[in-house]
Amino acid sequence: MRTETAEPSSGGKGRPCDPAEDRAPRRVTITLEGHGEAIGSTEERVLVALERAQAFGKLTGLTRRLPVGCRRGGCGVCRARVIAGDYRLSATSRAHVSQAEEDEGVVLACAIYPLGDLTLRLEPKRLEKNGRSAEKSQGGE
Amino acid sequence: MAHTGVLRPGFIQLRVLDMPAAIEHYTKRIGFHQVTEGPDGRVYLKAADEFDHHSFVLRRADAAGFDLMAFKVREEADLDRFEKRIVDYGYAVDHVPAGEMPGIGRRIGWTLASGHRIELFHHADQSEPKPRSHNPDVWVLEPHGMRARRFDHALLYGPEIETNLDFFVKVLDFSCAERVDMPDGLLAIWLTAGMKAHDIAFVKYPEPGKFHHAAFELENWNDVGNAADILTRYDISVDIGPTRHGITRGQTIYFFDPSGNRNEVFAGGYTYYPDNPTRTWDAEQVGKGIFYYERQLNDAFLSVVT
Repeated sequence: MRTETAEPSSGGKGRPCDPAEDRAPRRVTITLEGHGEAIGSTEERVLVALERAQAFGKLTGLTRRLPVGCRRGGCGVCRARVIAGDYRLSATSRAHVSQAEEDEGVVLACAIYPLGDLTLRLEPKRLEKNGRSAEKSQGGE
Repeated sequence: MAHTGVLRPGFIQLRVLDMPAAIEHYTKRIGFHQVTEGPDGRVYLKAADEFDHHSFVLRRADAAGFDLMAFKVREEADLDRFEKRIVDYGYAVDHVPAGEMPGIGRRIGWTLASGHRIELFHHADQSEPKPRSHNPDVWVLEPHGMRARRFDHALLYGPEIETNLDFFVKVLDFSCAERVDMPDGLLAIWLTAGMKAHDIAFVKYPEPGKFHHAAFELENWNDVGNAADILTRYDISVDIGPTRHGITRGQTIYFFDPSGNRNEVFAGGYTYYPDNPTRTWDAEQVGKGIFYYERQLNDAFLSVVT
């Protein structure tokens, strides 16, 4: 289910991003489940807030560094699942998040903007038999 | 004419998620010009310093990445000569009629062992803006954005690059300018049809048909600095740089278009002559080969592709 409201509510719900919409940025707290919190903004990609938190030592216990790739929804390495909170979706490659997954809150962290406080966990793609999409767990599971 | 057969990269076609954002990126930031939009929605771009109709094609799709790369051959009859050699090598060749892309004649195409579609063509109309050929000024329209002068080369990721190496050398008459050999085998190859350090390169990767970057040539290191200023001013996602490659010696920045396809701005690079030996790199020094100043690969180099 998608939500068309900008108000925070429970559950990971997305809606398409409208870049023309003019919003005053609001400060939000982004929680990376089990690893710490980042201060973000409603006008900033979630992954960018997490990168900054990592640089300030606010994320702990990741087995490797935060998975950062293209930051534009194309490469898929920052795949995650939103546990709680609402967000806007920007362009995301279907190669990495199917429509069914999108409906249940799977996102690329670089391709969502929080609408309020947000909790997510990293969810790299599973290894497939042919070696495709072999992103290893980044400690988020 | 010493340079025969395959001359150089002609154009590349990439998939983008958001066409208006892609057009803004490639025209206003990279510094290309939009030539036209085709009836199927594909958008055709070029640098003002290129003569031919286009060198960069954008196709709107649900997943980012690589559709095809086409090389220009010297003569029309080269298409038939290469078709026979490619078929003899064991690849199925298909025919794309003239006009499938505006301004481009008939093409032949096939799929490499690495899963990438490659094409050859001979005829291209010229389009404006283009350089003058009589008493030419250094430019007709003043360069803008990153001041890209041409689509220069691409780096592609996929399996069986040993076969790609064999094919490009034996069938398309390319030379291997540089290679990286790891203890478990060949990791990467840089191939050239002419005197640039590379026209196309491949890195070994388990998934076929993947795209690492398309590169735009800049005039010099100062223009690389100008490109870096533009990347920060417009909050474009940067991978690494400005830095330099040990391999090719090119001065460079890796960054991403609005769909996550990696771009490179590239200046310099040595001149390759066909009698030059292949330069080789090993596992201990490959970091310096890829990023000469950092002397190590970053996390994204071997893993972030579209």
